[in-house]
Amino acid sequence: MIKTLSSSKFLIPAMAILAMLATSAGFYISLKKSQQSTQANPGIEGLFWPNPKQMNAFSMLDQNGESFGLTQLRGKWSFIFFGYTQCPDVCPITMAVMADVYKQLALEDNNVQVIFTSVDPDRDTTEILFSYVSYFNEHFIGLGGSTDMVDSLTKQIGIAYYLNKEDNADNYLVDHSASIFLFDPKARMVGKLSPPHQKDIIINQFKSIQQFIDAQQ
Amino acid sequence: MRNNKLIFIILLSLSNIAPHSAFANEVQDITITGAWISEAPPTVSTLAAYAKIMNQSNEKKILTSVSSPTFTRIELHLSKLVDGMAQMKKQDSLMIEAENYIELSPGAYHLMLFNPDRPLKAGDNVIIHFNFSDGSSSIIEAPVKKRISDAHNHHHH
Repeated sequence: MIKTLSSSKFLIPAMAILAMLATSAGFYISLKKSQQSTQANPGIEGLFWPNPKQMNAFSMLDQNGESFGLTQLRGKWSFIFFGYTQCPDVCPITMAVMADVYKQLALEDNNVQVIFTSVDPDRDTTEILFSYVSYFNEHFIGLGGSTDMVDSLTKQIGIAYYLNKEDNADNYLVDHSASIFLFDPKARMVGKLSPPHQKDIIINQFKSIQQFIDAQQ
Repeated sequence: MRNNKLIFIILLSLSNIAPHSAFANEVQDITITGAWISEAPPTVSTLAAYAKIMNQSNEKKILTSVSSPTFTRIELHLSKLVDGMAQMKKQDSLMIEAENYIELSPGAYHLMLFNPDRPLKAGDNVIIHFNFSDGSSSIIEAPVKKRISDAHNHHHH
């Protein structure tokens, strides 16, 4: 087989074609790489890189009953986390921490929004969400709507939640993600902040991620 | 009515006598300090309370129930993280070892208080009864306070 091929008069053009293909493939791969990231992940805690998730359309209602989707994520840095308003311990802890984080970032004129997403839309009506988020900060956003609406966001982010209705039909508890997810102004999920949440840690982590993402533009 | 009150007072004073303490009149078995209820947004009907429960006796104590005239029900709960999920698990009781203490604190063991009979604001005070398996009770007054963001971290280091 080899002997036949090497004696073939097509050998040189075939090799030339192969070489051309290899070169262009290599060029294509390196072009792809430079489009994805100009820099490797520098090891920033919680940073999703080089493949931040580009969010697809989702549809929820905010605390004023206005629709909230991809458009509202664009142009700002967004902190999104999940919970329910009847959650007595973990959720208000996170809300209180984020109120302090927001206060400090807002002083430094950061383009930031804080979004509490209820995974218990049956109990957390628009009115309740309004009362809840504005108790912690008048600029906070509260999202809810319907189970389908909640799932349009949670499924993209890749988190689960569970309503423990079999234990207690009225005062049921809800299991939910305890992380805070960070989105850049291009509506890409660029990071995850893990509990236990502390103001200074969140601010430092956010600034590192923001600085890195801004440098990639 | 007067009789009931008298019996109550007698029971109360009996329950305060530490049966295993050499200094029955001076040292109480259980001391509860630093109790507070977290103020919540007005639409929230489930609140959390925290406290440090110290057992000065040389026997373990088991907290079996907690009650308050202000709430329809109080449960013992433990907040915990399981695979990144925040969960709360109801506890039937809570054991405090001899000469030891348990801290109910944000993000860990806490009391879950259901349906306050009035909107509670920072500065209000609420009576809470801690009932133990030996029949004793500790009654305290817990202030309502605004949650501050670093309260979570006191017990983590």
